[in-house]
Parts: sequence; C-alpha cells; structure tokens
Amino acid sequence: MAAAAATAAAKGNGGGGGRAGTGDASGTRKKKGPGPLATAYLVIYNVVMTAGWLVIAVGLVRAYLAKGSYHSLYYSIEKPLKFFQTGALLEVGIVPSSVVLTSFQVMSRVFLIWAVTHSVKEVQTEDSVLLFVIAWTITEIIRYSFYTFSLLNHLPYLIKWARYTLFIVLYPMGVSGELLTIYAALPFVRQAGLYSISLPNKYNFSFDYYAFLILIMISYIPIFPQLYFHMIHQRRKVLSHTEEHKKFE
Amino acid sequence: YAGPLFIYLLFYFRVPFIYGHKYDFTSSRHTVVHLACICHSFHYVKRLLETLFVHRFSHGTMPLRNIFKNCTYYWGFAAWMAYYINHPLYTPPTYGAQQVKLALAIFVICQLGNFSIHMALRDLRPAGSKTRKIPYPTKNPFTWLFLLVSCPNYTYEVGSWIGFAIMTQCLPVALFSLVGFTQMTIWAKGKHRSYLKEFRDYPPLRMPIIPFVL
Repeated sequence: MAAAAATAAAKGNGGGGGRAGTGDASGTRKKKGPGPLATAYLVIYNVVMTAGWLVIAVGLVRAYLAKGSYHSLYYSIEKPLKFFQTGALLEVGIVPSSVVLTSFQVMSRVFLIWAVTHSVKEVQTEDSVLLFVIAWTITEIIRYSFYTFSLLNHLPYLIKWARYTLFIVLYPMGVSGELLTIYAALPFVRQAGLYSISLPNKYNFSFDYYAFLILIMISYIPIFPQLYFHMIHQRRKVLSHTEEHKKFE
Repeated sequence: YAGPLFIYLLFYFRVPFIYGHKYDFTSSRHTVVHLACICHSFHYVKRLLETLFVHRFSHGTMPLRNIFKNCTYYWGFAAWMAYYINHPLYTPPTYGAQQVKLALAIFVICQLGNFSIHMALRDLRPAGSKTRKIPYPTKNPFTWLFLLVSCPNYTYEVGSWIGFAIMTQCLPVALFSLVGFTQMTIWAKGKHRSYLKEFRDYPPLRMPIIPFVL
C-alpha cells in the first residue's frame, strides 16, 4: 500500500538548495505509470544522475581531506558538476512534475553554473560557491534516488522523509550561496563589461549584464518564499498521508 | 492601445529623465526617427478606431487578468522599442534611404491590408449577431489573401511589424515582431482549426497564417 502511494507520490521536483521546484504527492490516488520501456529509461536516467551527484559528493570530501581547507574545492568537482547539472536539462519533459517549474529550476541552476560561476572566474574561490554546491549535491542525491526507488516501487520511508524534510535547511542554504555568488560576481562584471552591449551600434540594442544580474537577485524575493512554502505545504500532505497508511497496515 | 501610443510619444519628445538631461526635449536629426513615430502612432490610432467602430466582438468583455497581462506586454514593449529608436545615439539603417523607403512601403501596404481584412470580417457578421461564416475574398485586392490564408489580418499585422523593424533596424523591434508572430500563429492555428471543424466545405488550400507554410 505504501509503495503504491509512493509511486503516486513520485511527482514534484527538488526539495533542497537552489530554486527547488515543487514536490507534490497524493498518497491515496493510484496513478497510471509509464510503460516498461519508458520506466527502464527513467530508472537508468535517475540511477545515473544519483551516481553522478554521488561522484561530486565524494569528490568534495576527498578534496577537502587532501587539502585540509575548503577553498578551491570548486575546481575538484567543476567538470562533473557542469556535466550533471547541465544534463538535468534532459529531465524537463520527463520528470513527473510541471514542465514550467522543472524548466525554471533547471534553467536557473544552469544559469548559475555557466553564466555566473564559469564566466566570472574570480568568484570560483568564494565560499558561497561551496555553499550552493553542497546544498545542491545533497538535494539531488536524495531527489534522484527518490525517483529511482519510486519507479521501482520500493521507496524507503527514510528517502521520502529526507526529501520532504531536508529542504527546510538545504533550500535556504542553496539560495544564500547563489545570491552571495551573484553578488560577488557583480564588480567583476562591471569592470569587464561582461556580456554587455552598449550604444551606439547598428542594431540599436543594448544590454547591461550587471543590471540584469541585479534584477535576477531581486527576483529571488518574490519567488523563493512561494516555492519554499509550497514545499512546506507538500511536506505536510505527504508525510501525514504516509502516517495514515501505516496505521491501516 | 492608448498606452503604447502615449508612451512612445514620451520617448519621441525626449521627456526629461529618460535620456541625459542635455537631451531634454531635443529632437532627433534622422528622418527615419520621425517616420517611425508617425508609423507607430498611426498603427495604434488605427487600432483604437477599429476597436471603437469596426470590430464586432463575440464575447462581451475581457477578463481582468488578461487586461493586466496585455497592458504590461504592450506598454513594456512600446517603451523598450521607443527608448532605442528615439535615443540620441540611434544609428540609422545600414542601407539608408532605400531601406527606409522599402520598409515604409511594406508597412503601409500591410496596414491597408490589415484594415481591409477587418472591414471584410465586419461585413461578414450583421450588427448585433454572433453568426460565423467562412470569409472569402472581396473586390478589394487586399482581401485576396483569404485565398491562401485563414487569418490574413494576422499575416498583415506581422508584415507591418517586420516592415517597421527593417525601417528602424532596431533589434528590440525585431524581437517584438517575433513574439507577436508567435502569439498570432497560435491564435491563427486555433481559428483555422475551428473553421475546419465548423465548416465541411472549408477551402483546402488555406493555411492559418503564412501562405503554403504555416
């Protein structure tokens, strides 16, 4: 019973650092799952992603133990981070969650990795980068294993609990890391005129990347609370449903 | 529609606080900038008049949330375009007067076309009724586009904005045209589909918005 509920609950996205998408669960309704081939593909995808983020986690730990400090840990996991976070673009139509929310979350993550951290080399040694990398890593490991187990109809309560609880800390942590990183990048963007076009030019167009980044930071103000409280609401729904199911078993 | 009309003019007259103070109330030295203002204003005046006197609507009013979205869209883009076209550092089109003349011609033709279609559609539906009929070409050559397209009003509208974009050689205008085109294509496809559903003898050659293509 709990397993069927868990499969039905395999909706939603994120549950932790960064722009977490919404989690969603209806513990009681049974959903028609994907066909066997699609399921196999999804399982493989989710297993690979779980493994990928585990690699990043292990990379972080090893690098820390080797160097003794946590500066420059970014460099030790830069490649797998870029690879697996960008790879998440593939899940936009696939994951059982609203396409709008999924793409929004993935786009914002990809933006942060490529358009901020990768583009502004000076911020790569900032602690704030580590803050969101750790938040994302923990979140994604849990989230992808959640999907994997759900697809296989064997979702341990621990994973479900972790997914819908840890975000309470991880999400603000990730957001703080992201905002601090963007903030740290600002002076360098201004100095280098990065990604900016100024007048006059023959296409009569201008773009100020500095102002754009500030707008992005401001946009966190309305967006973050909405997503956060949505997750809290989901948490109440999901975890109380499971309690009820357990009572009847 | 009054919004974009008014907002564009604020930029055209270089009202203070938009550009540097030394440019307040100055005027551009490029002919094309004045032409652009005339075209843009003409377009929205035409729309206003059409809304008042020409269109026959099937639904009574527009929901409030739509109005907010619509206004943000129109006003936002009008401001964005107007800012660059009327900017003191505006660069006129690469191919000069030739480009402007050609683009202006496109714009005017498409505006006339768009108006013709609106009139033809109005004549399809008697005053006060909500009947729907297949539109057909009339004696007006602009309406002959009905032979090839279900929603020539949208076709002409896109054409107008493409003309305006070429005339001003301004990227934000091109982007505005693109966004508008995307939205109008969605509407045209919907309209086309409902025509096909409702009328069994609907002309098979017609495409929703772009002849033979889309």
